[in-house]
Amino acid sequence: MAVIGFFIFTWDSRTGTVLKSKFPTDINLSSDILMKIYQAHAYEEGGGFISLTIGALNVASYLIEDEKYYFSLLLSIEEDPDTYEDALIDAAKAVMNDLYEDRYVALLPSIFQRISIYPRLEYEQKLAMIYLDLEKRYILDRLVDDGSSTVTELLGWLKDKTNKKFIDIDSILSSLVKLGLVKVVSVKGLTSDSVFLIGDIFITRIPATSSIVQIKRYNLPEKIVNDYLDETRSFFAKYVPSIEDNEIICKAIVNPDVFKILKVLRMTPMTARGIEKMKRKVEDLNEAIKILWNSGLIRILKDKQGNEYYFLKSDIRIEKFFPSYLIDTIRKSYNNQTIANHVLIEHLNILKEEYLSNYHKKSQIAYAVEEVEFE
Amino acid sequence: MLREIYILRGSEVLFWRQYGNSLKWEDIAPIFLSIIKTLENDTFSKKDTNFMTIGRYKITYISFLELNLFFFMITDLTDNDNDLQAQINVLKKEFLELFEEIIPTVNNPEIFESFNPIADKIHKDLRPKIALVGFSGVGKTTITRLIRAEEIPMTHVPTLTGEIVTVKIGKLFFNLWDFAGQESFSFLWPDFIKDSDAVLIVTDSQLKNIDESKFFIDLIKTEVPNARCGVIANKQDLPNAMPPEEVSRIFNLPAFGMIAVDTNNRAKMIKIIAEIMDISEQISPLLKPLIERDKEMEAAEKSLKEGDLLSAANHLTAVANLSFELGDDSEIGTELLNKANLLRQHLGISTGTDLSSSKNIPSREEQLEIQKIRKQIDSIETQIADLELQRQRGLISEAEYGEKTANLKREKEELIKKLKFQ
Ligand SMILES: Nc1nc2c(ncn2[C@@H]2O[C@H](COP(=O)(O)OP(=O)(O)O)[C@@H](O)[C@H]2O)c(=O)[nH]1
Ligand SMILES: [Mg+2]
Repeated sequence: MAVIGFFIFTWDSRTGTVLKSKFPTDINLSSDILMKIYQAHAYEEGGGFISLTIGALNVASYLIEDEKYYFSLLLSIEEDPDTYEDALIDAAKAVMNDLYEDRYVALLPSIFQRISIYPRLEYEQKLAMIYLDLEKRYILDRLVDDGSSTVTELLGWLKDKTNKKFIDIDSILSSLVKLGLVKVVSVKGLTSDSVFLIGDIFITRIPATSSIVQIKRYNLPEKIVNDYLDETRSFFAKYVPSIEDNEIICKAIVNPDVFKILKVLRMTPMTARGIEKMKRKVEDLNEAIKILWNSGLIRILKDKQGNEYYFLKSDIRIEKFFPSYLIDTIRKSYNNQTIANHVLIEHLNILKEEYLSNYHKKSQIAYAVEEVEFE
Repeated sequence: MLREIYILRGSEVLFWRQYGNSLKWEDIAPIFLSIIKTLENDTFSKKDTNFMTIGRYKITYISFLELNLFFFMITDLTDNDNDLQAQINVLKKEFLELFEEIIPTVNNPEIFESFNPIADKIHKDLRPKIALVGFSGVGKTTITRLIRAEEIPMTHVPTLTGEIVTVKIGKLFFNLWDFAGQESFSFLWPDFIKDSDAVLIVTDSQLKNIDESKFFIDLIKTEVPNARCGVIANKQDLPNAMPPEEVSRIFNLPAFGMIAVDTNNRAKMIKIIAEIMDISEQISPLLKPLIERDKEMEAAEKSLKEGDLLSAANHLTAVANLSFELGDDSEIGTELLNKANLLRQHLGISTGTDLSSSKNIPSREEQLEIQKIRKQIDSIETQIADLELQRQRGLISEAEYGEKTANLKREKEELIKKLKFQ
């Protein structure tokens, strides 16, 4: 097991470390382990994320300083603790908001599950996680409107907007930085770091082309095929992405079982037997099928012999894209003088660099590299 | 640390329990009366917990006017107000639960003695804390082991984090913090001594270390200005060890000589802590024989000097018996007995007829056996306290705690039976 356990402790000046909860409940935690984690945090001064090695174990740990709450993950030695940072911080937030009355205890198994799979999530899933995190989504929305802001400004604004006590702006930004969505830079003349948007998230349903192409291969009654195609056609004729629908598909895709099945169905429809065989690869097949069905992602069709086939009704696309619309946003900010010129120039330079290093090679159109410096 | 509990009905004391020296009754009585007066007239705060500071003590009080009851706890200034508020409410609630019905009619105050265990639990639940500070290698871990009657480390294994264990001083329990003394861990020291009721500076009694250890005085002054404080001048067996009197002068604090690697010093070490914590001897059965032994030893020396050999022999016998009672591991008791007998032989008195043997004193073997059992009981009590600390710290589950303490308690009952039989 890669993630051995998740636990929460506090510090009491008269009794030392006080373990509040652990999952699984049978993991063995000595006072020594807790003291070492406490000590490593104390050494860093202030709250935040740290990683350390204790004996033959790796530990990822996050301290919410104001509350003196420590959230720690015990990992086997080959696991890189740093890859768990975002997941651990998300878990800490989930727990903090349900801390009083110990409501969080019931959440621990699912929190643990989410942490365990986090480093193996694919980029698509990680973007979906960001989208599902309201605080992160608000920050992105705000940056989509304004292009850039400062850390302090974002923090104050987010506190007002969410009415929450615990907002760890650094960790929010750090996870956006890791996925290449924003860049945090210190700009001359500003006391707080600037946050620039450099990538945006695009979420949509798309027709499941391989399902449609391959449907002919199966011995299906014509009426069923036509119904299916009609349904798909009319669905996409009317389909408009919405926040609610985006949330539905994001929630589906972050479930590792759902994602595994979805990835197979993207390539080819599956027989009932094929689906049954997935049992070995997923934790809870029935649950996964239920989610796929309820999210409007699959359709089950029967051939003349009564055999069942699983088709994708719609596929999902979740992507990062280059926010070229920011050029216009920056132009407006320049005209309205809402942001200082040298900050806007910095943003343009960062966008240019981002485009050249991450989008240019992928772009189909030949791009003549002109060395233009925005001054 | 909780020092005294008073429960008054009007000006009549219904319940009193003492854990340490504190304000004298003559001084405290008028304060109680004036508090009671204000509580009776003040309709605002009568339900709330109140605090008052008198010298180095804090008085926490609460009332129950329906029955004219007033609850007082006298503690050190180091106790935390939130904890005190919680505990005085426990005191009130438990007392009322047990006695509310009978209080109006009761005429036998002895009935309230059944409240003692609850009072003791409050003392424990305020989690009195003693911190051992000092640079690496001076003997902090050794002292911890000595007090806990655990195996004494003969090689120095630096403590890398900090160990928090319970120790039993008389019948009271303390959280003892033994921390990493290496300077690379100095960033932890303020956290570790924070909220201590007492801080013991441990030095190896060598000039260099004594000089450096003065650093801790400042640390204590800033972090725990109200804590009680003393210096352990350890390793007195080594050459050039500075005597405690001199150490005391340098630190301007009470200092105590110690050889922590000698297991016979366990009782002495406990006595030192009791003295620093200002715990009265009446409340600690273990301290009484210790203090008596010191007195007998002094008397024996005096008699020897004055040439009164018979009296010296008798005092030495008393010291020997007290040593057995205290359970010193060594042969010191036997040695002293032999010495006393030699003196008597010298005086031509039969060795069998010393003064103490006329009383019904158990034989040496019996005493040693009794002592062994007492030690086992002591160790079981410490183990139970340890389990409780572990449970508080979340390191063992409620179920595990319940099961283990039940077993230990059963074991203890067996031993007590044996003791009565003896
Ligand atoms: N000679 C002598 N050695 C002692 C005494 N007390 C402790 N030691 C030794 O000093 C070393 C360090 O002791 P330890 O308790 O680990 O020191 P700490 O770092 O302060 O916890 C060990 O080897 C002990 O055996 C003492 O009173 N006399
Ligand atoms: Mg040590």
